[in-house]
Amino acid sequence: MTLDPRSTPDPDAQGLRLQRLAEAMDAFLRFQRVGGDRDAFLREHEDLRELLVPMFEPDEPPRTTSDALLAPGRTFGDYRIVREIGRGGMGIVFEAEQISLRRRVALKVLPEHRTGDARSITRFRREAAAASRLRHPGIVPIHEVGETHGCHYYTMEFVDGRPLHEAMHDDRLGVRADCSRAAEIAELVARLGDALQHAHDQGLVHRDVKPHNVMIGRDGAVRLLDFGLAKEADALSQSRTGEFFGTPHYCSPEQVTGASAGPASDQFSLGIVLYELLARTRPFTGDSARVVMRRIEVGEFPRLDRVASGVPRDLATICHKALERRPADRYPSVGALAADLRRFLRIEPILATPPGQITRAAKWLRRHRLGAVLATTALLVAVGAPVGYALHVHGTAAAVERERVVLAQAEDLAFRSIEQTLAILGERLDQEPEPGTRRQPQLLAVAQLCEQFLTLRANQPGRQRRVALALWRVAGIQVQLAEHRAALAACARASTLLAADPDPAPTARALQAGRLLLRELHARQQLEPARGDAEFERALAHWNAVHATIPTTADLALLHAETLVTRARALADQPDRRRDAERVLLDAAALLARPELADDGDAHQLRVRNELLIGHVLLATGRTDEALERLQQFVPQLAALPPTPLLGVELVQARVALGTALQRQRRPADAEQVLRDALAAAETLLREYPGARQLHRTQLRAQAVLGSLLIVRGKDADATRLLRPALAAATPADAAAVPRTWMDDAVRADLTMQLATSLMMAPDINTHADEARELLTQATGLLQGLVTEHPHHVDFRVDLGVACNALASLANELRDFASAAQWAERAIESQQEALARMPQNSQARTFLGIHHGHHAYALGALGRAALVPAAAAAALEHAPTLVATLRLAAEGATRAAAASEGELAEQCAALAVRILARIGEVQRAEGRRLLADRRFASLLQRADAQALRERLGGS
Amino acid sequence: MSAPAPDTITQRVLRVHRGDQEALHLLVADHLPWLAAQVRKRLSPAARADGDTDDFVQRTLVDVLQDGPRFAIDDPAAFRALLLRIIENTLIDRVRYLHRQRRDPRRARALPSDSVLLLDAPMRSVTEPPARAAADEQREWLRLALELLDPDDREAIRGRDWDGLSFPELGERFGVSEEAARKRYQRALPRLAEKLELLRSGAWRTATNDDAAT
Repeated sequence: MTLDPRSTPDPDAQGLRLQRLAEAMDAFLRFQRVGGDRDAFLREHEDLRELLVPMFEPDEPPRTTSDALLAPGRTFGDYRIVREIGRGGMGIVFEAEQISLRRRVALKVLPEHRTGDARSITRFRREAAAASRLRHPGIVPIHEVGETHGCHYYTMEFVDGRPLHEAMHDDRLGVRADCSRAAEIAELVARLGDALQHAHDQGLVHRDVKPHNVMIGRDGAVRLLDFGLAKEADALSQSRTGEFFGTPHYCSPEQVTGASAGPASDQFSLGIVLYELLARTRPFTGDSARVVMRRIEVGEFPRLDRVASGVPRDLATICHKALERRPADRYPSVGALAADLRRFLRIEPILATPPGQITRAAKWLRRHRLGAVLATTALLVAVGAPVGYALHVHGTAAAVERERVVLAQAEDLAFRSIEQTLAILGERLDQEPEPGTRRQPQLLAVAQLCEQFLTLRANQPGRQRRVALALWRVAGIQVQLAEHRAALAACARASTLLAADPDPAPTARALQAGRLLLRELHARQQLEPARGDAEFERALAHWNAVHATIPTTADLALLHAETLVTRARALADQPDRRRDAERVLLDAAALLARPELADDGDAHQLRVRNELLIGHVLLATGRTDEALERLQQFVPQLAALPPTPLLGVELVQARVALGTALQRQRRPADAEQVLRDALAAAETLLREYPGARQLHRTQLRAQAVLGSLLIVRGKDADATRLLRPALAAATPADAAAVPRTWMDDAVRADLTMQLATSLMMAPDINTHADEARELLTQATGLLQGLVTEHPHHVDFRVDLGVACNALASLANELRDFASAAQWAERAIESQQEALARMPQNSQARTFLGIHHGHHAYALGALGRAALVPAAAAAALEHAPTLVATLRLAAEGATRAAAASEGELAEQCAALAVRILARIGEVQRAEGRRLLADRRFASLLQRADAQALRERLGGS
Repeated sequence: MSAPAPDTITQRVLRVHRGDQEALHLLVADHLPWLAAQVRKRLSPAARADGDTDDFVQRTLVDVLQDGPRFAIDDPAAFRALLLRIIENTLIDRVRYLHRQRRDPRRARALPSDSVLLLDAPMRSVTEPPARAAADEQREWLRLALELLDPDDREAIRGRDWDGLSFPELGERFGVSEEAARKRYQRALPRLAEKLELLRSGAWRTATNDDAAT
């Protein structure tokens, strides 16, 4: 195990540090046992102060000194503590007795961990002072603001009762006994409205109206607490991750969106309280704060008549008005809300009216933006244009102009909705499993709408350009959904539109066209791995023209480089195009080295990805040393970039490549660790982006590679345990529901083959023979499909040969030699086709030798001696260093020699001897290699080392 | 003539620290099956499927016995509980810090020292080490207490005091700001003190938060 260099620091310095730490610990523990004056103790151990102070005051919300001061029964200034009532971020509230006046009070203390923060203290005091200005029967009065023992506090009237959140689900609230529960609720909320109106009149907004801040006294009094303290206490403060600390359920849309929260915000929160009291459930709910906030923002809540029976219609109307999303649609003041509630209580007509059909439709449209787009556009196209025409015929010039402006604005609005809808459809795709099912029809609807826009009569400058951009976005989402044909169609349409209406600014024009060409290239490559040449040529022509005509900006250079990298990535996946990939990658590297991209973060990212791709190509073309060096240099750099699904995929792929390189360097343990790291990284990312298909596929690919490594390492049981669930994950439960790509099938075929291989490694081949055969048959089916679909992709033919060979091997082991011979012939055929397309593919050549080995063995066992010499000779020719294959071929030749006579028997016997001699050479060479391996240098120290060397021969 | 009495755990640990491989093998043979079973039992099914667990436990056990905090206690339950906690912590590290840095239980490697903490109370009471040995022993207590801390705390103290990282470097290791790293370290200190006190007072069960040994 390699130690991090930093983990072996200077032992002297480490010794001193540990000595200090040990001394500090001892001193601290001694002080804890003996006690004494802390300050004196710290002075005495000045040199250890840095370590000792945190031990006394760890930086977390403490229950330390103030807790001691404020323990029940203790005296705190003029107050004697009775009990703690509640605790929040901005205060701890106690029931206390004011000694001088012998009255019960509520004592609110600023938590100790905030007393070091001058801003908290200022705010605490300022807000206490502000609240003390309020004199209203519905507001708990402030008695005193002060500081004692370094603790800031203020005292309020003690309300003997219980908070509303404890009472709200009871049948009686304890506010009025002489009326129905609905009337009692109306009374309670009206009183709160009065109290809030008083505060608003004094220029104070509560900002944290919620049941927890409402007290119902034993006498039926309703009191509002905590004025103005909420702003930063919890509800509005956000953590780094953007999550709310506190409950967002009572926030207004203004608070959620970060807009200015005025009196209307308090009205909305009060509306939520009213709703919850009536329905006994909150209007805005969800699994996470984010969902709740989103629903508040769009005003999405079930109407009261749907969730609660028996709510008086007028009361529901009042509640719904208070819960209007737009402040302007609510009551003009919270006092007006209270007044309407009192009208309800007096059985008078209320002022609020239930929304009409049009208003409700408008609200529905606002909530369902896609629907809004459809409806708006349909209206625009179907009604707007004829109306405009009619006006044109019958109206005055001024009216026509006014209407033209209105229509233009309407078009702009509708198109913004399309753009927003696309943004919504495109966001969080990666976080949703199987997003295509739901989004695909919506995307098609948007694409159709775009076309309808183009049919509008009035000529709007830039309309085609705008539609082209929208279609470019549609194509991007389609690519993510693996709907590559639809993406290509959208790209083609966008291209036509862009050509007809180019942006007048040359750089913008070049960027638009470049982006479109890149997307088209990407979609084409995803759809057909061996295609993309034509698209790439077009893109290159575009960039040549751009560089020849306008100055190259950083954006242009970056987009050009991205196009090259995208192309190289696809080329690198094709065994016979890897040299082309390398050339393109070097072009990209040259572009990325341009000075205008020196400090560009995106360029750095692309540079790292480019270098790693070069590493992949080096590895795939057998230059393992160079590949390893590059991968080891750039994998950490990629890992250091902010994680995104795309980078996550490439990081996992790079780690898989690194693991493969290590394996080839005969470092299987390191390889295994790297592959396990890759898998762990993929799992982590997948938790965040469960819908990231490419990431999922990459994870499965990594599992297949790790599985094959485990098999090679003899851990076939581990491999089976790894591969079985991986294959299950790669096999969709409902194949028809999930769009699948050739890449999914390729991964599945790989996993199927690896699992079958691991099963075949069992000590007794019969144990899993049936399952292995079934799996291998599935794999050959998948691979045959891939070969048919992508005849240029040589790897599929190679893999098909390997799968057939595995079936031949299984049949040989089960002594079903006729099947073995057939499968071996099919394997040979597939491998020969691969070699015909790519004669220099050494992997295919070796596999061909292996297949011939199995073929020779089966033929020998079947007694078809005449065919054996050719097969055995081919095995020897193509796999001259593989002992297992050579043994099979030798065995086949030996059997053929025994089963035949005359010249054929001699020919077979001679071949068998040649092959056996070759096995001897290979094994001696392997012995020499082991003896020379520096990891086993101690072997050379042994007394018999020289004798061993002599027996092995060679230099 | 009766057979010689078998070594106690303490004797074996002392022999291990003198480089005696046989003692190491005996300790591993005695305790590995129980430890591996405990670790497996506590793992999630997915992690349990990882066939490396037993190998990992064995490797970690050998590392701890050879190069980990030097302690010995004749009560097998206590000895195992301490080992189990250290091995589990190492396993947690392996999972938690996989993306940043591989943890090696030997990273908090012993400085040259002959001290072995003899945790059996009666033996401790008669062992009054001279000053140099006391300093060594202090460090061994620290190492043992460190191994029993929660992962974040352990990593903070190890980074700062063993590896000598500055707070910005510690922040980098954790992927947090300098200030957050400082706070994490400062929070870990009193917890380390607490573990130390528990261990020294013989409350090893509380120190390991473990009832598996019972």
